[in-house]
Amino acid sequence: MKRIMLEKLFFPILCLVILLLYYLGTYDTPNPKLTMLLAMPISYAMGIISILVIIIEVMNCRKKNLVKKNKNNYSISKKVVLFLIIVFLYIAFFYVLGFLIDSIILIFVLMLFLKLNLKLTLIITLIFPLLIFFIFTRLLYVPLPWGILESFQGLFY
Amino acid sequence: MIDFPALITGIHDVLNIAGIGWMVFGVAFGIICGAIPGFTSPMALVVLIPVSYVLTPLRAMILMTACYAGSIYGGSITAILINAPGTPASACTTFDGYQMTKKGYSNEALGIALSASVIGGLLSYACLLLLMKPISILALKFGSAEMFMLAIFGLTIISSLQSEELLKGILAGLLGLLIGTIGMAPTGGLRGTFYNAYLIDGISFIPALIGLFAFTELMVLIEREYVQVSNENRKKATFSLKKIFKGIKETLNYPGTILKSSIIGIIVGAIPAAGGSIANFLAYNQTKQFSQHPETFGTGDPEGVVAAETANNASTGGALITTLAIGIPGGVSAAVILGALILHGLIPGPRLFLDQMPLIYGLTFAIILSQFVMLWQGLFFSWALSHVIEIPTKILVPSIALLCIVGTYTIRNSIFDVFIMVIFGIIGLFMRKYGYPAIAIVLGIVLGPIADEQLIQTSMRYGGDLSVLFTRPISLGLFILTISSMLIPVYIRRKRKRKE
Repeated sequence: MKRIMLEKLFFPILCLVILLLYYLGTYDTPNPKLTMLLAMPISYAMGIISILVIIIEVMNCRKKNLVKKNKNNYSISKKVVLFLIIVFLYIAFFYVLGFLIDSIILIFVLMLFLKLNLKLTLIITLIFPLLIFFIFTRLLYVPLPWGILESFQGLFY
Repeated sequence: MIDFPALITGIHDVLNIAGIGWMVFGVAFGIICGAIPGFTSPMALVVLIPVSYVLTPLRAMILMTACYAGSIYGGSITAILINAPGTPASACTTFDGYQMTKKGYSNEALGIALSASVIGGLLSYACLLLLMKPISILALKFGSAEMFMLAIFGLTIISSLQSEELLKGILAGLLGLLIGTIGMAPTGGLRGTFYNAYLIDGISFIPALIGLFAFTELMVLIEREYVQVSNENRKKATFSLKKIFKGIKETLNYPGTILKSSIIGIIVGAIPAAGGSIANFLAYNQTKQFSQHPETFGTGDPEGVVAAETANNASTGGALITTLAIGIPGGVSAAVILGALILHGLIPGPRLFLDQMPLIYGLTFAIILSQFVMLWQGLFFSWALSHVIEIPTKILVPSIALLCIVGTYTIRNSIFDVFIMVIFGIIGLFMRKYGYPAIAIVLGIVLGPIADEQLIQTSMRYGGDLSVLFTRPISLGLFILTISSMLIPVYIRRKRKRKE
């Protein structure tokens, strides 16, 4: 029940946190009255409405007595959490490993994690990131980081 | 009304192998993406943004608009075949389209959807050609006060989003607005940045868009084995070209419905952020209410398919009118097209019509032409797409995840944007689960900077006196419109509840 409650309150609490961060991140502003002309009323409205929504949700939860335990009811399952961890690791190693290696690892790990058979996983892992890398860097001239492959860059030109 | 020399230059720019080639590719890509449930037209357009970088502005726009039209149509294929609308804009097509499939008329329904989409699209693009310039001239009369009011008016659509609770929609919209004001203000002051170099430029709405829609969808799909859950539905489609042509002919039996649905589609499409999903509901409802046999609707009446499909494709032209003429997107897809326009250094709005007339006419001509391309491609894809649904999510999720990441990275060549995209994806998951409309945030991020800049400009111009917002006639008119469009949906909802 606590978890459902927390999930329900996630968005209004997030709004309050972002509001707080917004003001913590704003300092040394020239002419603050003019700069915050729109941001100020938005912040007041956001603060008031967030608190209102929190109160309404808490009241609703008490009324309905949410004791029903249903595992599927949770919006973030273990599978999703693992998926997100993999993606965050991908982001962390993006510049170090370079797009190609990092993406190959991403696709390989994700497909294994989703239990695709090994043969198909290997085929897609090898073809798909290479295809995207080729299309973007060679055909579309969008630079993607080479990372640890940087010394091989010359071979492709 | 039409500048003929510019029109001819525009047509000349379109009619070459590259122009037509990108158009054909755009329509095909749009239909494929539109037909995959969960892969909506904004997502298809977002994937094409990096592709558009290397093209000339006109070809980039041809690609994007062709994909837009294709994706809205593509959604109807799966709506008819397996009762799973590929895009929200085809939600009403399922009501009668899927019933026709159940009765064994799936091919006729596909034919009707195809021809109704093409006719709806053609009518709306004709309107685009005729109305764009007058609307942009009207837009020239807009000063900063009026633009501010217009941005606020754009936000009022949140009240009609039919989210569970109005407060949640407003909260999401406000969060979007606040995020939209992060970065450097027109006064030079920095807001909410912690002096972080990545944030000084603000948070772009494209990572938010990809995160809230595409990435969130991935986290939902990961729990399923196939996009379409039941095995039975996947087996239902068999193909017959003859019957499809029969359906195409049948559409022409409903000229009144086509005209009415087109007008509804164009108007609704032009209203900021309303878009095709609302257009097809409205048109379907209207057709049903004024029909002589309302009881047949929902049981496989071809007229229902005609109404829904004409309206959603007509909304694409309507959405482009406001996007190009005023720079306020008439929906999420139009917002992405707006983004692509800006990436190419073109600022939508009245200036576009003074400086880039051949481009505008070329674009309009190209989208009209793309409807004919869609006609023959639709036949092919009706046959082919019955197989795409069989791809398991084990393959779809990793592939689409990588496309989302590359699509976001290439906007500014920054992994920070990808990080923001994933964060928005997580937020989107909670929003979807607990009834907060994700589109409200996107709307806020798009309109926030406009409202912010215009309000500050107004204040500077009139020495801090903001009463001008309510004393200038157009601005006052917009204010009244804003208030009424906020209150009317609430009033209608209450009235409906009382009736029930």
